[in-house]
Amino acid sequence: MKIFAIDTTTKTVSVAAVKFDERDYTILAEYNMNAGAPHSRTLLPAIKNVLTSISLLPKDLDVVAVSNGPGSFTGLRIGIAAVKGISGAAEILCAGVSSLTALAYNISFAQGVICPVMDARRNQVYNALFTFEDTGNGIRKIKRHCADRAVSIAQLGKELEKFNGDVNLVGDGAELVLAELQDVLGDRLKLAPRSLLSARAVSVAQAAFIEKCFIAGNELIPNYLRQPQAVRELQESDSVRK
Amino acid sequence: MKNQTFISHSVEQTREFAKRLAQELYGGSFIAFKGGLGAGKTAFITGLAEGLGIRDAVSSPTYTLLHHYRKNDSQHTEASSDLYHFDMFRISGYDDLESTGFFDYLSGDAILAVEWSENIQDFIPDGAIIITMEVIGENIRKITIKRECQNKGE
Ligand SMILES: Nc1ncnc2c1ncn2[C@@H]1O[C@H](COP(=O)(O)OP(=O)(O)O)[C@@H](O)[C@H]1O
Ligand SMILES: [Mg+2]
Repeated sequence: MKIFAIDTTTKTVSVAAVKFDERDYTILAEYNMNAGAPHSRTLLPAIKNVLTSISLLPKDLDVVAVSNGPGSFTGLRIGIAAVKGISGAAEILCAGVSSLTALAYNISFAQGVICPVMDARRNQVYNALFTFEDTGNGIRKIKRHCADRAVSIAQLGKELEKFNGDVNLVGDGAELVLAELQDVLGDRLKLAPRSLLSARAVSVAQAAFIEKCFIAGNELIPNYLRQPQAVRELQESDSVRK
Repeated sequence: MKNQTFISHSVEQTREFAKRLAQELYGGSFIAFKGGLGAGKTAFITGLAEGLGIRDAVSSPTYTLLHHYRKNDSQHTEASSDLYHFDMFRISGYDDLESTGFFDYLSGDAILAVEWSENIQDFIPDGAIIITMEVIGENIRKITIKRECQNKGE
């Protein structure tokens, strides 16, 4: 199964084509960019580059997957719009996975708690907690310990004190959290290797393959966690009408 | 840019004045507009865009929140910078503002022009250019330009 994946939930643009067998996978092509240019300008050329470099057409893909949040509102909209477009035009299924689950897959080898953190501004991070467990035969299975949420760094520190063992930070808020929580958690806090710190589309593809959450393009929706103003206004006007 | 006051006697004068001001802007400039309906904010931004070499038609993004005028498209010669044109008329509070993607645009190299900046007072970045437009008569506007150093966080 060939999964094409996109992550635009942070300042990084990541695009990858990954081929999965039952037990293993091969990265056919991967493109990561973090040079400050806006996603609206960089994403489509990146998609085109990855596909043409391995001579694939969108219709050759089985699934097109995307990190559907939480993350930057603009990033989510651009990534999801692109995936809806590809899935509609090529008539293939798509998949939306949590950007935090995908970050956890970046460091599935880590021992202890995996703590993806994305900068949500105002001393908050988007976060969820995960562990990976050995199931024998070399396969590590992900286990989620709470829902995706926006949480203050101080509150996250309190929760992490209750866990034993290492706390592995990954994501664009990792260095911020490391600096803020070192006093509380000391050397239990570990930063993911720099090459695995940012969002990676390969991890999005992995999460989609494991979760098998394949849907039609029109069912794909962003998970902002915080409600956009337009939706809130609509709900308010609805409740006035009732 | 120094603080200044200008009395405009026509929409054309406002646009010409804005066109000249555009020459002093650079990537990352933030221009916050104050002044009620019909004060001439959109007219001013039309002149700004023209001064930057942007040829797209400018209008208030009252319902779409944001218009993006590109510095180059296939038909036009290159302008100096992209221009993001926000209208905060319907925005109140941090969550509203964040959901527009506003903060994603702050760190870029485009020029930002914001109508109804009164509604996002606490989030106007340091070094912003504040342009206040007042209606003095049917065709007369008082335009005050100030560079503000506010320290209110984001
Ligand atoms: N000196 C002036 N400067 C700007 N606009 C003027 C002036 N005199 C009259 N007007 C008129 O005032 C209106 C300003 O509208 P607009 O720019 O859309 O305002 P705003 O965006 O502040 O609501 C226009 O109809 C314009 O023709
Ligand atoms: Mg207007």
